[in-house]
Amino acid sequence: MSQVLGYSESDIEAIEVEAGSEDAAWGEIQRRCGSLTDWGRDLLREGLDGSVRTVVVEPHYICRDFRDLYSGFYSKKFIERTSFCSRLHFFSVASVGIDDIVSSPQTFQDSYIGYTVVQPIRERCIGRTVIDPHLIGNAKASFYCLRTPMKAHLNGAEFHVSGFPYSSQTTEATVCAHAALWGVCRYLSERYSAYQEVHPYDLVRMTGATMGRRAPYRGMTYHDYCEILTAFGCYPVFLRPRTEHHNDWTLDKPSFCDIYAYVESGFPVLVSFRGHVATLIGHTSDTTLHSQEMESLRFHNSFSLLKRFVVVDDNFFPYQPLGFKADPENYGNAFTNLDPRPSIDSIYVAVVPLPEKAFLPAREARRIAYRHLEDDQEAVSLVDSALDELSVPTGEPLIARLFLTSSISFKKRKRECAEGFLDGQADSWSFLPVDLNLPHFVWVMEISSLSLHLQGKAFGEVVLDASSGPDECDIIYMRIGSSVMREGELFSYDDALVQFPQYTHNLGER
Amino acid sequence: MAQIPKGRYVRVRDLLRDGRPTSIPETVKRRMREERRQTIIDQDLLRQQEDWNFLSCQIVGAEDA
Repeated sequence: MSQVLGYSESDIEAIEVEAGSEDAAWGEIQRRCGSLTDWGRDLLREGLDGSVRTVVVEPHYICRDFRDLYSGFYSKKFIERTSFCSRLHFFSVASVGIDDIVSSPQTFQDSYIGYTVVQPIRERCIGRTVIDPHLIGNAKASFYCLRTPMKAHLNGAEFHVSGFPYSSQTTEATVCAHAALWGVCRYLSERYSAYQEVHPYDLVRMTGATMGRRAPYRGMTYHDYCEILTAFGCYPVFLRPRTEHHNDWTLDKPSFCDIYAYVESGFPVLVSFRGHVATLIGHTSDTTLHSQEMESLRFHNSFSLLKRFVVVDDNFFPYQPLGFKADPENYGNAFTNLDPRPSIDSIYVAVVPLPEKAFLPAREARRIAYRHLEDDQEAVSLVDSALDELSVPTGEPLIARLFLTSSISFKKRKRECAEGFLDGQADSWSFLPVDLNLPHFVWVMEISSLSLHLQGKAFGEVVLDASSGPDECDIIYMRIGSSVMREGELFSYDDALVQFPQYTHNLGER
Repeated sequence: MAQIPKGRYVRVRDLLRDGRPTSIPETVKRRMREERRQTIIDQDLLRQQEDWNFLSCQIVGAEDA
């Protein structure tokens, strides 16, 4: 355990991790960072080996999250322990000294992978950790996940990292549900000023007492989940696929389309697998449909292109792939103590921390949007004309992608589309939502052919008020190709663009 | 057919000119009303209104999991 006696030297040191000599380097890191257990070392190496070339060890670090846990729990133990943590900073460049890094942080910013706080706890010692997923081998083009920018200061030098906050459970004071909730809350409070920062022991305190004492550990219940997320300022909804005991997503595809829509909307989704919980924070996509079943008369839901969800699970390095049950790459295959093992099929309950004014459920939004695209012959003809203009081959699958977004983000992105900043083609129709009074949140269904979708383009969109109800089926507007329908009128221009860039802001991508 | 207005910033009033009435919203409303009338039990609504109290005391996360 690290000890600080007075205002001593910082003792920060850079350790090179040479390719082929990782064991020796990590041995040295453990020697300098006494709290780093073998479990913590192995977890970090699982995600960082091959990417990290220099580790800066900061032996004495005051972590506000651990101080909170310390004050609430560890300080009450008989055996004394330090309240100081250590911190490790990871860089992808080799052969650099600590003097270079501190004196010229901007030179090393691009190679800054992130940091991890090492807590003075037996075994599960990994505290607040933020790693940029794109700097550890996850290609930007096919890996979509939630990230938020965070800062780290190293002897006055400032580094920036964009990632999803991760922490392991302590097993004594916190359990996996606390770790997952902490990640969700920290992501939201870092990203949106409306949410106040909460610390790990706040979550323990917010856990209900109806099941007995809160610490040392006990499992959390769904009731606790709701209470905590509500106290935090969210409006959680529960989704429970009708797949109990069957472990087969095909038994309730609409529920999985709902979960996917919320992930696509940029919400971290807490999912439980009967006894365990993790957080969905993104996905990877396939180029072919894994399910031929259409969701409506003409359209496949973009869930059919889902390859894997990206999850944060406190037992593993962040950004694990949650696949379908037969997927050999599914990280859940490593669980030997859970039956069924975690997979997309075995999601038992999903909890989505929604904002207050998102009243319309994903399923109703899809239903209303499909009806506008398919019920009237005129809409069907508009889709056919757009497909003709785009020379989409007959029989090519059509893809519908649904997401919820704030009207601020939607307008910002549409303005960029309208002015041609995204693909060099100014799309005047994109000025339409920019100059409309919109509710705080809108549901958007984009439609594409499969080939257009893979190019990041759409040829139509239906925009709905997320504060409306299922019986209020008026939409804000619908665009199909070069035509727009709004308030019972159709507007067409023969020189308007037929296709336009997809909205891809929610999961951090451009 | 008219040309779409172009400019640095195009206002809605300039975009939405010379529209023609369409039956799309009325068709959708009529169909949805019919569907609601015919549906004695809405499965999705029923699902939302199910008693999920059994979840309230179920454990979702514990040590070693």
